[in-house]
Amino acid sequence: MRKALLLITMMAFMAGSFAQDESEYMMVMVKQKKSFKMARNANDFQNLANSFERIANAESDQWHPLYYAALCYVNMSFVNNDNGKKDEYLDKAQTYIDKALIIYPDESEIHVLQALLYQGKIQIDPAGRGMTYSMKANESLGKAKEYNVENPRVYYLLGMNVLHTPEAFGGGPAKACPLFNTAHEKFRAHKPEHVLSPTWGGERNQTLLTNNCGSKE
Amino acid sequence: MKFYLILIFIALFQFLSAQVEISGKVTDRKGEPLVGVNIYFDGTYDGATSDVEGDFKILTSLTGKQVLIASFVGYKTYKQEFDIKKTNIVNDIELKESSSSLGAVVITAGSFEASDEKKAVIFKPLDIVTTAGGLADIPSAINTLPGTQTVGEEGKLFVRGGDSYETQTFIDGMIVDNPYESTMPDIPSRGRFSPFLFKGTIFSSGGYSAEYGQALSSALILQTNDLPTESVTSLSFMSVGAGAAHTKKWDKTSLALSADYFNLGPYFALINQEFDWKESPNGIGSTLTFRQKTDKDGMIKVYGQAGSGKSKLKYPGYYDVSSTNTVELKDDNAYINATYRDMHGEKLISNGGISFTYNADNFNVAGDKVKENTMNSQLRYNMTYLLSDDIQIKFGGDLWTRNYSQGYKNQDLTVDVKSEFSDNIVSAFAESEWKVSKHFAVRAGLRSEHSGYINRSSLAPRVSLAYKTGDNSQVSFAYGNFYQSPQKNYLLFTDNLNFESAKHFMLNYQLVKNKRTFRIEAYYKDYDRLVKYDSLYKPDPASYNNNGTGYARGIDLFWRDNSMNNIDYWISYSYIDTERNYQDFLSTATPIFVSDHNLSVVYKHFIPKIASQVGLTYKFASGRPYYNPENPEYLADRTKTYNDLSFNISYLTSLWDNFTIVYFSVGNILGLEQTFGYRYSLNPDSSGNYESYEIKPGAKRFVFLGVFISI
Repeated sequence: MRKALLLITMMAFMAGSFAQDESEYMMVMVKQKKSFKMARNANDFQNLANSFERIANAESDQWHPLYYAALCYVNMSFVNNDNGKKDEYLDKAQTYIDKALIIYPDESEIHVLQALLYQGKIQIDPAGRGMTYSMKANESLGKAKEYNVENPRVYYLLGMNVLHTPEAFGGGPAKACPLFNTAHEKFRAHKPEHVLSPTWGGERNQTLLTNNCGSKE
Repeated sequence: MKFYLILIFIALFQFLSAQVEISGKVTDRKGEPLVGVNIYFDGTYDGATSDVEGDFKILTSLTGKQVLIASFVGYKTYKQEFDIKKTNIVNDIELKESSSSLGAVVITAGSFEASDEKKAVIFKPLDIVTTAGGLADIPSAINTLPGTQTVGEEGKLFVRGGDSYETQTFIDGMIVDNPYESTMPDIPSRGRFSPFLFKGTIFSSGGYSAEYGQALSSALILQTNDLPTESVTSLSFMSVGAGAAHTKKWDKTSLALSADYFNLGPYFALINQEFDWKESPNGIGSTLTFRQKTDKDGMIKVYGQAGSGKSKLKYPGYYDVSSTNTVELKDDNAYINATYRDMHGEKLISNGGISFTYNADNFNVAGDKVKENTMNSQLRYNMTYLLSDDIQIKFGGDLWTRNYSQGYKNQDLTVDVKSEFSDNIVSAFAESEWKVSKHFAVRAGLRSEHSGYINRSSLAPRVSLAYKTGDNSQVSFAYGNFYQSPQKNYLLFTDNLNFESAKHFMLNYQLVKNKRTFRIEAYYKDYDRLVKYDSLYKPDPASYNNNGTGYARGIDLFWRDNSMNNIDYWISYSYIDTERNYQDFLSTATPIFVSDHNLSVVYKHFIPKIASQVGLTYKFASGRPYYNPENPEYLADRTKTYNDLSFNISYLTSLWDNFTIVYFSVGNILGLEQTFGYRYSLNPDSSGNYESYEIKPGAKRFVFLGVFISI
């Protein structure tokens, strides 16, 4: 009974002083992050982007909601087929990344996301944008690596950049594989530092490794 | 057990206090439901996403004054304040399309834009570099667009019946006084600026913004690159020279230096030339590019270049074309421009700049020496105020100082004269662009200029409208007055001249669908106050006046198909009817740089298997007028038609692990006969005939090979 009372007091305390702050924020974010993992189509991503946008709007000192709102829009760009729309979604994502970088300029994950966005830009017009944006992506990944050398997504995206660069420009699967391998090891060793830390990329990296590098795993 | 009761109680309490429901339907202007719109109370978690019917429902425990926001990509954000009491609210929302959204109207009359960033452009900066026959020269590539004339012996831009001086080049808003390299007569010149310097190019064949002045016909607006993405060293080896460049990048700063050497000697030794070169064109050049990011939006850019060149050639005499003179040219030039751009708050953008040009051309014509010196500078500042999402106001001014001198010394020094002038041109402009809706936009501006030397002023109103006629099509209209100070050659001898003037009217229809573009534009230009004179370089002020007039009207057509994989082509066709009476014309006539019909077909094919891009450019121009003193009708003769097929291939590879482009091109691959015109002796020979010669290219074909390595 004492334990129960203690619990109730704690809950009341949380509901009172934290309700609108930490606990609700964490509760909602964890829930949204779970839904993000299940999201597959444009509708799912739009719904999630909207919630993350609302949370970001209410929690102006947190970078995670901005990060996920941006990630949703980047994904919406990837699943859309209209180049104009793709660009519009990426531009929207960019506004969130810009805000997130103001809050936390040294966060490796935000720079990784920036690189992912640039890769999305390349997809839309590889001939015209390939050169500039792959350099920009590499620059962002350089920063991401500087801030966290253990971030597996850095190597995964570096690999993607190399894989999609024509061989004449120093790209191709042979040069990408060592990067996918490094990413693979880092994904295995990686312990998220925060419950809201991003976790994407591992599966896709595994697929790319299997398809391009003849990996047995 | 009590524990659960309390929990239920808390939950119930929260539920009871969250009674208010806000619901409604989100639609666009046509009443169609919008799906996926984010509707929420500002600064709170309370919100919802509209469903397939556009319906939304928010349950909230908020009370008092709250702001409801509806946001959606491609639409303007909706805001509405509510005083929330205990009753439910039903509030339907209509979202307006954002004027910057995809498919919104864009003012296009008269202009072609190349950019990687903007969505509504037909051209990419890369197109300029990869056009066959262009040899990575900006004016040559622009010459495949409608509205331009093929003038093979000049290599400059002649737009819609205008002379080459009527096209003005701007770099980051600053006027460029000598955009072309100095060359010998009848040798085509190249643009001074590498296309790799620019992230954006706008070619306007008329009706351009009030921001740009001192151009009667056309504006070529170039925007330089921002901070480079990484440090790089590049080397180039060409059949006509070699160069090296290094770019160093720091976090917010970059510095690039380059040096080039060119000499056409070895090439001319290999391929027989029509011209009798005594010294093949050769020279050196160097550039400096500096970038400094000052804060999020602030950027300082400095670009400078300096170079010098030499050449010597036997050229037919001016009075008697059967004799020849040795003509020698030595030129030194320098150009530097520094610009600053920043944003103050969310609404105000300022742009400032300063530039300086130096150019010295020294001609030696059979012992007679002509020395031409240009020393110009410009100071410029303008501001853009974003009044709202749809209205922006731009205003600013500049001071352009021109100093020009010309010296002439004959062989035995019996004549030694020097003429010079200096002029300050002060300009101010204001312009507003209003996107009335996604379908309709208006731009209206006014520009005023005053020249101190001639003591004359001008006031130029300009208006453009654009209206979207369908999802993929639009019509644009533009009208404007354009003024240009008389050319420096005239101002040497008189200050009693006025600005030359032109009025432009143009109507444009554009359809862009599935990566295909169709454009048609009709225009009319009315020239007035063109400078007339008895003979060039006559030092008598009374022989110059502003009595010249002219007109130009025509139709420009453009088609580009970008829909196929790895294949891209465009076709430009221009028809023009133009006549003028200016300079030393004997009567009103079509000038020698005009072909009534001009056609360009540009084809590019990327072949991934061999990592190469192959390009072909075909150009056709109907015969050009030339002056035949034996024909009593002035400028009534026409050259034969002009045909040219150029080929290029760029092969992407790596050399010692460094990215390398091997570039090979052939101009006039079929070796077709090309005639640009004829020149006659001033006086008939003893038998009463006028001697003449044909102006044609230096060689049948031009072959170029280059290897470009990035380290």
